[in-house]
Amino acid sequence: MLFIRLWMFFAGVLATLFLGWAALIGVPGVQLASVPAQPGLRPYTYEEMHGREIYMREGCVYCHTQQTRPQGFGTDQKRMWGRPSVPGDYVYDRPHLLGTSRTGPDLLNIGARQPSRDWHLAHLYNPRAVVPESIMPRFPWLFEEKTGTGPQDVPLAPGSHIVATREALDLYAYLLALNRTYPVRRAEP
Amino acid sequence: MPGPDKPDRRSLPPLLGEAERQDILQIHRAILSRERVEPQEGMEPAPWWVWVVSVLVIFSMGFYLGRYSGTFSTEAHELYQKAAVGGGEAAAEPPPDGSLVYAGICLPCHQAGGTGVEGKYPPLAGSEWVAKDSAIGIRILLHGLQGPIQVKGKTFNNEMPGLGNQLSDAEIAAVLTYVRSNFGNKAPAVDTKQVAAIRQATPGQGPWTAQALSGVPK
Amino acid sequence: MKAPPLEQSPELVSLRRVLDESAAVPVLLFFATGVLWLLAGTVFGLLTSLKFDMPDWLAAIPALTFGRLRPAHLNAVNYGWASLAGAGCLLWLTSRLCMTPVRLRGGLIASVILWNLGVLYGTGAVLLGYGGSVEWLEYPLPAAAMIGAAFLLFAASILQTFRMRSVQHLYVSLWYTVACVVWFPFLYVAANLPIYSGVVHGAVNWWYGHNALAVWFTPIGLALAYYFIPKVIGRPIYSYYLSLLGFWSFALFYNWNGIHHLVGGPVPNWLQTISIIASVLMVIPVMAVAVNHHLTTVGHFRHLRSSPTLRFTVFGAMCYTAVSFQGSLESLRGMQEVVHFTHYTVGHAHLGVYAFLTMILFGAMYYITPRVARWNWPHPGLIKLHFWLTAGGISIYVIAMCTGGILQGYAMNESVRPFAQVIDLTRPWLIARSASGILITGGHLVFAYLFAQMLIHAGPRRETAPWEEAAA
Repeated sequence: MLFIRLWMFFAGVLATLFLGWAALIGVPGVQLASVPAQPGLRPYTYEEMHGREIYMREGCVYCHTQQTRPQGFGTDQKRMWGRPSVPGDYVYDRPHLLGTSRTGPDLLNIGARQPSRDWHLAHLYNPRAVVPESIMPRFPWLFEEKTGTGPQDVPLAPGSHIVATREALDLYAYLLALNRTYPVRRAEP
Repeated sequence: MPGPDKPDRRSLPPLLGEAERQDILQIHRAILSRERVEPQEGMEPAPWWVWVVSVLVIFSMGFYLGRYSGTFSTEAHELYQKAAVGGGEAAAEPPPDGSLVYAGICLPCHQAGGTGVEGKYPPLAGSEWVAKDSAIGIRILLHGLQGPIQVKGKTFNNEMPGLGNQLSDAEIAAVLTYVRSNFGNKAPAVDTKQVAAIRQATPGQGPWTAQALSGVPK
Repeated sequence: MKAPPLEQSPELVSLRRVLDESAAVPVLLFFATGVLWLLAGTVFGLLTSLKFDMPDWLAAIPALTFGRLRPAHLNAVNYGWASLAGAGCLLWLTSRLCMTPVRLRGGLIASVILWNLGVLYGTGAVLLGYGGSVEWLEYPLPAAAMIGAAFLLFAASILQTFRMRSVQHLYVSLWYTVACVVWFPFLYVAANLPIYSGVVHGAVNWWYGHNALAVWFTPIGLALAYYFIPKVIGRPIYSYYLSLLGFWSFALFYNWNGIHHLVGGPVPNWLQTISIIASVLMVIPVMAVAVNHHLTTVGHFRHLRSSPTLRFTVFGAMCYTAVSFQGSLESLRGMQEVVHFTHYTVGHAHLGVYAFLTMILFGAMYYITPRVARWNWPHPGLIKLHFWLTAGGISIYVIAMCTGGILQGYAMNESVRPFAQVIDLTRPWLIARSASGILITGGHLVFAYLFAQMLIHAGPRRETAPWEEAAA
């Protein structure tokens, strides 16, 4: 009664899923495969990739987006978060870290907006030391306490025994690499 | 084979006595005896307005598709750009808002009230450096500042990044004007032309030091 | 209106008994492990919420940082609780609707073990910092492979039971059941392939994230609602034509929705537009389902008092209508401009996966568990308490997050307002959310206690339903 034949039901079920896949993934996938990296974009270095893994490990993506919206849609532009991002800005992002939540500000251009290593390390160690209203977690395990600091160590403040680990420094390197302030080159029409 | 009076042993915990099995069977039967009929399909027609609403939704989404599909390209923001161009071609670009630049760029270090952070980032509120000639502030914003500096009787030793690559002349003038007229500061406004002139006069300049700034020509 | 008579013919009771016995062991295993994941997921969720209010609490333990607890919560409740409990319900339902015993039961035991190992591995990996940071797909590949294999075993059992059916007519719940076990494996495999990068990966992420609801969780919820509403009331579902319209428009539109999670983002404009359109077109299947359910229930609302199954199911079905209309509205660009990136989305997600799906799962488990555990629920008062704690808790949750989210969105779009002020503005709403989380946790503890009592046949021995006694 439901259908003339049962195989029609199964064919319909598979066809609807495939149609959706083709529309949302298949066609855009082919279309976007031809998008080259923006000329101003460079691949991540080894340190930056390691920092990116720390960014993923600590789940930064759950509170910070990496996508900037155009003027006329939200106020990303007025908040100085950077020009609207385009597909060519993300060619080296694997996995993508676009994010869906802005419990904290967008970070696509944090490297341009706030390049200070000192600030970032202090902020990672205790966000409320530099942003009193912040509800960001602290990441003390990215730092270690040392009795004697050598010249290669990066202490939190001059004379401090709290020293940044390689993980904190690489995470900072990644944040610094989040900089898509180069001008966009549009595809030829 | 489970029969009418024999429950499937594999569905029961092991080690149950026959009496317990029969008891469970009886409870199960009692549960099943208070069930109603298995669901069937009723053959009532759908209310007419369900079809009307469905057709209306499909039509309106057809219009939406026509209105918002844009070109079939990888362009992500064309709709907004068109809107911006269409509305703003005649009007000149509005001057940048210094408070927005401050909130977006300066605030993480210098804080909301221009108070800075004790021992880390110098205050802007009541700072003698802000009150000095605008030529100094413009240089700091364009190229940055590093090394020890005395502000309101306290020494700070940190580095401020140069913002010349990121901010336009108008934005630098706007944010500097904002800082010079807020947080209790009362210094005159800064002109965009002055920023442009200093930018041109100092190509390739690196971060300033407090000492170098004191020798800056007015 | 007179209640329809009970069906008490000895043949029918015997047949039902044989079906229940075939389903008993696998269904109880799916349920019991599902309830354990519900408890674990609830703890993760409550901790996550408290982290917003007290960011310095437990701040030195890496495994309990917000960014790891949040994905642990999402995965534990979805792949652990909702999937396992849902799979158990579908097994029993398929056997009932096909009037044939559950097949491939050995495979089901393997499935439940593999499934739990996968969730355990995956959730542990997320907490220890090996999560993939792609929402809904955080599990490392081995964990995903285990869950995928477990799902295939489960799907094989459903399809084999379906093939051996002894009925002519296929009831609407079966359409959803059979469709979702066919759909989900394709979806899960395609999304977990480690081949995507850049914005295409973003599209794959949200094609999957939304389709996990579209082709797995929502069909479970709808199959159960379509079964239990007419079953408890004892009359046919109102209209076969509405069922047909609802199912096929659902299948056609729902899996085009995903990219509305990226509106305003760096994905092609036309792609955003078609996802928004599909989201609005969801009005059609949702309206068809809601009208069908409502016209079936109308005139029989008194059963809500006496049947916990119907009470939970009708609450869930109403929330399905609410969350779907909210979703259609939310996808529009004007609304997205405000609520995208805010807590509103979190409120919406919980209205869907909790207020709709989880409440219906509770309702179904109140019906199925006595039949597979062969024991009557003890403590009808605790069942009521469970309902009011969870229904009240999730209502506060959704209202707090949606209101707070809208305020947050407007504040964020007020460019003169510093970002820190936006955070301050959300604080009271986040505290209300934590309070609702405590209510929900209480409800889950009550439910887990009741379920454990059923497993060990504790409480008074009864042959009648406890709620009829309570109502008398």
